[in-house]
Amino acid sequence: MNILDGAMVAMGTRRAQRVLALATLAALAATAVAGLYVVPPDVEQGDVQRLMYVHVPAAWLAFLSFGVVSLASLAYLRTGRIRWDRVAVASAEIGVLFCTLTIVLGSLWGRPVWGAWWTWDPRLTTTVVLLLVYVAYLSLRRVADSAARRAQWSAVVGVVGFVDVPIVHMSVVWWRSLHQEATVLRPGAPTMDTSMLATLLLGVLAFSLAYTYLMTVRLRVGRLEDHAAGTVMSRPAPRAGVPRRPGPVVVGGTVARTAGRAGGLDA
Amino acid sequence: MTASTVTRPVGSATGPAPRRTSSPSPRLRLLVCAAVVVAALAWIAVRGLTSSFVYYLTPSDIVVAHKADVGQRVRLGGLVVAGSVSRVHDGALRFTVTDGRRSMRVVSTGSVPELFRAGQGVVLEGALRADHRFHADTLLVKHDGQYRAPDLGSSAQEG
Repeated sequence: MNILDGAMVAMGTRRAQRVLALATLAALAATAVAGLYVVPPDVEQGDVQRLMYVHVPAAWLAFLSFGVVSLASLAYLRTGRIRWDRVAVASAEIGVLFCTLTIVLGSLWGRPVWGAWWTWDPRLTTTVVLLLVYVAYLSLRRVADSAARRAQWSAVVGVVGFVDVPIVHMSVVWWRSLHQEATVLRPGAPTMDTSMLATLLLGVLAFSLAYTYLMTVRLRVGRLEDHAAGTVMSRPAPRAGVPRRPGPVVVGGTVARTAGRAGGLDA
Repeated sequence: MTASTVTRPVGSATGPAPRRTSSPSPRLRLLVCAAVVVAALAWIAVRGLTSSFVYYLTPSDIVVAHKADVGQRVRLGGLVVAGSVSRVHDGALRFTVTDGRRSMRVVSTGSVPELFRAGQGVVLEGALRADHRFHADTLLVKHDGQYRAPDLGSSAQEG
């Protein structure tokens, strides 16, 4: 745990973030050059196949983001440390971004290749469900009236919601679909040329760096938010007649669970 | 609203976060149970969907199992039989799709994706009519997920 804490602190410094940002930009630029100019087009699909180098990494990073959400949620439920809640929400927001990107890029790719922007194929349907689960996760966080409850409720959704990720991945195997089956994450060799696979993996690296960078920024924002909320809450008691929200009580990285429970809106 | 008790923080502002070492609270136990129940329901739903939810029917489903009535809007999926594709004067595309056991003649009036060709997997949206042909207004091409660079050695490239 200390190593993990140390890593998170090290990644959170401004210097580390600048380095990460530069590395991300460089990797994205390299992916663009490799994907657009270096790698030859697919013999059947032509240039439109180049969308693969962003569509597939976006999908994988969405899976990874939601995996981190579930692990961090599990860690929160076990330890009750608010930092795991911050990790979970940061990863969920970025995951929603990547999941949306996957759907939009897939739609752009589907129109010329399949002949449709959209169809209710199992892969597409389960992916939309995945997006909705994590949009619901983020919405739920706005509903809860205390930090402790917010963290607890969303942690449960964060753990359970991950169930859809393997369903999305296996949907093309379990059901008849229009979407092709896995080309890389499958038993046996990937069904693509080596140069294409290398470009795809470069895209995955670039998107992973982007994910890491966005995580460090979002975690810093989360810490600042919690710190600001804690500062507000530690002010002297409000004047009579001024309503006070039963807001988060976050000091030293732990949510006051018992205090949150006394928030007055309990069923 | 008894919000006045809320402001009392449990942790201290400077000290390390206190670990929860006691057994999980009843609420946490309830949440974990709920999570297990939801996961089980999801699993059942997936198993149920596996048998009942089909994106498209195969020619066998229609010809042998009669899973689609005449006029009922369904999706039909299969491989385009080589040599069966023809475009008649009314503009409709005619071809045969097969699942390896049964085949079905198709009249497609929708736009034709560039990747459409004999041997390709297709999904058609439309309905079986009394003439025993499947009349489709939407033609979708299923890509096989094989990606290859053009063979630079040979000059003859497939268009």
